[in-house]
Amino acid sequence: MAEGAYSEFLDGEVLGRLMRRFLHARTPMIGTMSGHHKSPHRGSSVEFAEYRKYAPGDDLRRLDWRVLARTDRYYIREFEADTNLRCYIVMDCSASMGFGDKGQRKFDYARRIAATLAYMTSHQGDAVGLQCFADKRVHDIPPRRNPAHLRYVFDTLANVAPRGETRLVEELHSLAERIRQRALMIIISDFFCDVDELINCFQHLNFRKHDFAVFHLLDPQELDFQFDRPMRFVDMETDSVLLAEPDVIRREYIASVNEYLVKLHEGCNKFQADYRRVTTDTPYEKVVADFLVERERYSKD
Amino acid sequence: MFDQFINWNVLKLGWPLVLLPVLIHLFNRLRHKKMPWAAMMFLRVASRKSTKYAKLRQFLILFMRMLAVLALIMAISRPLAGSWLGGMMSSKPETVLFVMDRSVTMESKDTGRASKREAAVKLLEDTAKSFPGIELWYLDPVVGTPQRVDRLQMEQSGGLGAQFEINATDVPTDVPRLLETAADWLKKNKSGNCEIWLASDMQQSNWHPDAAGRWAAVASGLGGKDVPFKARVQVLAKTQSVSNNFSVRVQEARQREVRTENRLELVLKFTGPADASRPMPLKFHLNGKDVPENEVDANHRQFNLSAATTRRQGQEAELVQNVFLPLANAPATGWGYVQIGSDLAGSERYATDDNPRDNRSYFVYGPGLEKARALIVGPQHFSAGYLRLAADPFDNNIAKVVTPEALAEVKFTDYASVLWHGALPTGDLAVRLQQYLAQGGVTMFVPEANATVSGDRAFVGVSWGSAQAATNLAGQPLANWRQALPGVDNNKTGKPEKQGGFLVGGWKDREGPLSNAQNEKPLPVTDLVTIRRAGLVDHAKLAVEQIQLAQQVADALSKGNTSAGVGNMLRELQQALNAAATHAEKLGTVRWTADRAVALKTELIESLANVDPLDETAATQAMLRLVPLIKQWATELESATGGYHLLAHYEDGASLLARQLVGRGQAYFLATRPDEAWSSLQEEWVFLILVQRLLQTGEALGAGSYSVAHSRVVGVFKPEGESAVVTWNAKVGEGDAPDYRRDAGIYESADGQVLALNRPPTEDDARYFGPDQEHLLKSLFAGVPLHVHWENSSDTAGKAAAGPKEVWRWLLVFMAAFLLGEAILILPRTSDETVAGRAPVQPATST
Repeated sequence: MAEGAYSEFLDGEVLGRLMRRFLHARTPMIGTMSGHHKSPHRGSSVEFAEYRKYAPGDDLRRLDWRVLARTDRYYIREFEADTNLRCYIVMDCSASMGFGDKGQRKFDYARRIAATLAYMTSHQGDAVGLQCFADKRVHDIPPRRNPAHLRYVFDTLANVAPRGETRLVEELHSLAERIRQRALMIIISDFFCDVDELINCFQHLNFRKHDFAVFHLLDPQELDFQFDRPMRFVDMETDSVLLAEPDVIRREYIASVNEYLVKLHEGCNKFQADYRRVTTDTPYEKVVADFLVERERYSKD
Repeated sequence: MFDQFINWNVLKLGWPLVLLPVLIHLFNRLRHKKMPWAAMMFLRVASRKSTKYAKLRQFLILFMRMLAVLALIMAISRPLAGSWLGGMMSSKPETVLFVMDRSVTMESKDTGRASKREAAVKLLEDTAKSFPGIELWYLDPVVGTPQRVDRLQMEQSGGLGAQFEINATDVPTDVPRLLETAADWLKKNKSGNCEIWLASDMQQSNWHPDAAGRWAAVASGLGGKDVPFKARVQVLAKTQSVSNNFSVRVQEARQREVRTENRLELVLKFTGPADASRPMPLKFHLNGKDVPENEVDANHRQFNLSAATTRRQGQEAELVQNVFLPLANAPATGWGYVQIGSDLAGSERYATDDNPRDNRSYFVYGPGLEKARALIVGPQHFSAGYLRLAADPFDNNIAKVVTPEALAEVKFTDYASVLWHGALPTGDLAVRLQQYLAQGGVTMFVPEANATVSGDRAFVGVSWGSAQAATNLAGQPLANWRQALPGVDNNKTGKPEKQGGFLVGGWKDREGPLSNAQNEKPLPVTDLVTIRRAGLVDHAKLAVEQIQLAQQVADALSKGNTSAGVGNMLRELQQALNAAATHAEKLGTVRWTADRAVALKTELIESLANVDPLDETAATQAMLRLVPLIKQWATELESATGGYHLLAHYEDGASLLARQLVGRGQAYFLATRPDEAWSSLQEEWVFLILVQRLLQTGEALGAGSYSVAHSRVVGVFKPEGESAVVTWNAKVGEGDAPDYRRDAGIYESADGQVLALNRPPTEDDARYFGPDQEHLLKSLFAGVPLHVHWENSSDTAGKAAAGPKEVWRWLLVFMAAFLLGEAILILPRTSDETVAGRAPVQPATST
């Protein structure tokens, strides 16, 4: 499949290596199907959870007869419930994501991560959906489990292009309101917006008990700001122009970036966002693998 | 700060490069590159917050770059720094050589009533103190060789005077000769870093600014590339003007019969301040006794410059006065002097003004003594008359006309100048004339009247080339120079011709006998109409060209390039060497000695004489053996010769007037002659001025004889030639113990000849260099570091022992410092500019 129309963002070899991993949710998920993720409800898995006193109406088949025989008390044995998760991949498709060299744009990088995670999620039996937005919601694909749906997701990724301004904050708030059940949200963006408002979004998502991971994509040039002569910077989203001598303003620029990054990181930590800062010169396989490994480790803990 | 730039043109042309960093900066600003950018929010913040410090830093960087470029340009232009800067930046000399001008004008007194010479000695002594531990030497113009200064003795016994004879003299100071002597001595002693301190009153006649060749020798001797030392010249210019000085000179002394009485007529020339109004008393001394006042006409016992009609330099007045003294009981030959003022006691024996040294003039008289200035040599021809007229316009019997046949009886040294209008001299006559020139004579040669021209005859390396005659429009030669004048209708065609003949194209108006008048007006040289001229052949130049041609052949051979064929190359080499030797022989024995001529032939020409051009191996080997010898001879020929110096030329570039230096003397060659069939010279003022200036030069240079070197002698007594050793005893003279080698006076030889020596006429020349002419002095030194400490300026000797020093190395250090500063400023501020985004991020843990 990856060798066909989706070869721009899917690499069969990478997928082959990553399929040994499993995408875990960090918080209990409420699903409608049996799955591999913890549920906040008790269920019928083989993994013992706790005892609780019998209450009228409980299924007598779950009464612990041995305890009753020994103590003459009625206790119900409860077991963990495993359920599936619904994964929302939220991708920023604003024009600023188009920054970077051809084939190395932040948008290209975001598509690779999104496609890889969607493939893995779908193959581990979880539902995956895709939300693409820029100055408006471009695509809204609700999560489904069937493989045909995955093709729909990939088709969408193949056809979407970066354009327009970012309305990330509004869209995230909207998403938090719309999705009432706990879900895993993977947000991929450069987050070039007001950091305080963004943190408010994260608080909103956290309040809704969503497990959300944040892939913060940055181009190395945006961080280093290495230019050797005066530049006419053209805003990719608004086309506004700024003449600047990089030598003169570099220090302030980097200070400003640093301040923003620290604030964003602290906000993510505060609201339990799985924050991952990614520069586009890092192999995406490594980024995804690290993401999976750390989630797996966390899930075992 | 900087006194002088050796490569001034580099600075003059290169200073705009200082603006290069600014231009590059502005160009870069204009060269904005369009860049689509995503992270505009940070860019806007950064642009808003860009601090003043960042801009200041940018300005500083730019400034540092400009300073670095400026320092580099200045370093290349090799500045010389004087005073504190030079002292701070330059190393101290290893040797200091003091040179003193002890000419008559240095006896002028300054405001402190000490003579300029005494003040200069004091300055040199002060200067010596500022060079502790450094070797000091003193070069005296009379002694002629540097003598070591005993510093201890100088400090203990009170100065240089205790060690050296530094009293007043009547000897002219020849500054370029002294500097040449200094250069030779420094070269011989490999003195390393040295300074020459020259104390002078800057009288132009002492500096000979028109002697371009000699100054070129000074410049190459002191600052040439192969000079094994570094020399700086410091001039202590004692230029304070003298306002109250009178001088007297006896121009002529001749016996005359006046109303049956035998009388001595003295032609006296007085000079003094133009505003002098009081009469100055005179004293006459004749044959050992003062002439009683009653024997002198009352009008002649004094002189008053208010009656003077000639003004010099606007400040000095000249008065020529004839005085008759009775000779009734006097011997037929005798001597005497004329003195301004009465005798006083002590050192100022007859001081009435600012310079007592020029208040007395000595003379001798006798029957048949003639005071000739010019000797005109040539066949019987009316041109001789024109030459005599130019040399003696007032018919004072100071120009003598002789034919070449009569020259055996003539001593050239009796004449200041020799004007030659015959065939160029050969044989013994040429040798004698060369000796005369070598001793300081001046000659002028004009072509023969019937010159179809004898190219074989050459004198001091110059010969007449082919003669050229100007033609009219019809192509016929002009018979008379007037036919070349514009408006003359030679062919009666009704169409007057334009100016014809050979027109003057240019001349040296800053030096030589055609230089501008004192009021800076150019001479009317262009008025000269020439219809016939002889070319000038410069054998020195041709000899060098030929030896260089030989060198090229030799070089080609040594590089293995025998494409022309070995036989042909051998023939070419032989021809070039033969030609070089032939031309070199024509330089004359003074410029190219017989020994050298023989050695050149033996070493180069004869060694190839028997080589068979068909035997390529032998020919190649023979030629290869000569390669180093040819190189050596080429160098020697180039250094020993040197072409003539062109002083005037025609419009087509042909030579009109050229000067060839021979020893101390000068030989001039004029391409045309005062002859109706040749030119309008005899009608031109410029010819009179030319001849008179040559005579003056001859007098100044001295024609080789010491007596004439001192002055225009009233009476000639000294045998011709330097070899004659005569002891002269003083009868009366300047100083306590007059010595004919330095003091004016009356001297008598053992065989009874009497000699009157006076200060040289050039000492009466009132032209002095001033601070506004410093550029002229610097041009004479042509790049040799020079600093002039002008009197009355704040830059006095004591302060400025540092003098002008080359500081280019320091400028390179400064440039490096500026570049270092710039590098520090443009260094990225690593601590501030670390990008946090590059650091690994720990994800948050969920609860």
